[in-house]
Amino acid sequence: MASDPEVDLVEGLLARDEGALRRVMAIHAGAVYGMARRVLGESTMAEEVAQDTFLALWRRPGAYDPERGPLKAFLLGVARNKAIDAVRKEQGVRRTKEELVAGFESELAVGVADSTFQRAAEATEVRKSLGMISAVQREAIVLAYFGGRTYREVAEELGIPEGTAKTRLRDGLKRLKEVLDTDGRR
Amino acid sequence: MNERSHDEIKELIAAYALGALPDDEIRIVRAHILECDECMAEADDYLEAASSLALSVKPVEAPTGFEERVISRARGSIGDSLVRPLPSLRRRLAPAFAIGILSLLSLALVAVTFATRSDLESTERIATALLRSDGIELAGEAGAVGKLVETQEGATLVAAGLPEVRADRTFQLWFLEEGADPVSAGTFDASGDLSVLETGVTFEGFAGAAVTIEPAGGSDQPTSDPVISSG
Repeated sequence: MASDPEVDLVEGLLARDEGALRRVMAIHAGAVYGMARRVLGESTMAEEVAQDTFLALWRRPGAYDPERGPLKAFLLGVARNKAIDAVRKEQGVRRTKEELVAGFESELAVGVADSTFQRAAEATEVRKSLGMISAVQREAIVLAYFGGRTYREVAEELGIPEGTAKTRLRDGLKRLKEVLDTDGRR
Repeated sequence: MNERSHDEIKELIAAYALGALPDDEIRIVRAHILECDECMAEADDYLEAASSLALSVKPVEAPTGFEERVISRARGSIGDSLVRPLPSLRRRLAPAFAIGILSLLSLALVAVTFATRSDLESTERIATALLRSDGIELAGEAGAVGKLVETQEGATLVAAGLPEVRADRTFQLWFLEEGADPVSAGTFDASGDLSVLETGVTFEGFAGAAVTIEPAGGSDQPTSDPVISSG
């Protein structure tokens, strides 16, 4: 459930208040750009994707439903989808398996700097949960979620049967859900 | 090729939640989970876990001038949205506002909730539009009906008697043309007996219309049979 200030922000967007868009960017631009960079690396396309994410919210604020979760999660989902679309359209911006996995693992090991204690704590909790699934499951999930690979491409890239790729994705997500539930996140 | 067993589709749900399915299999999985409670529940769990992955990402300071570039593009884009669905947020936050246009439509509808002045004006426009005789009538099972009317603001759909749907499902209006893929005209929730969608786009050039039930956020193409259609 979104917090009341977020509902106010979305009300502002619905009313075509440019100030509301500025406030949304002041809060979430770093996270959204971070997501674009995670998928696309340091390409100019990463900024384009981040811009497109906020423009999508501006053009269709009604697409965000506060009852389904915080605005940050919605924006990150939009940014991730746009970045993956870019990767699939232009193979040149596709990051290698090594870049994706190394980037992900390094962020698991280091902290996540965020502008508020609450968001930093939330990120820490998620990272802790991710640390509790196996390395091979994480690798498959990272390639799929941040690398834009289909499960067939995951199988090919990792040199494993498609069935094994599907199993790693499924078992990894299942374990992640269990850990998140145990930690009280729902 | 589409005849997959429950177990085969179940194996694909995690990949679906991670966005790691080819397009053809996305459609198969979506169609299945709409019909299968077990797989729907599993998809919900996996989608929740997958969305948490995004929160692990480290924020990175956006390039200098980022905000101004977005604002500049936003100023140039007002009104160019493909669809303008009546935002569910406003209705959810709104006091109920009963409107007696039952006799105009001969529909078994009761109330619709609107909030702001613009919504009230919108309601008046809709009611006026409904009086026009050149609307496209849609019908479905169990008395579900709708009327699509072209206004100066674009096509407006009013529907009544639509079936109840899960919270993570939405209604989606499609404009139809022979020999071409359906074109989405927006999504809407049926929080009351009467549902309204102002599409903001014209119906001109299309031969028919239909409403389907789709996963929240809508689909690129219909994944279920119409609940109402212009026949």
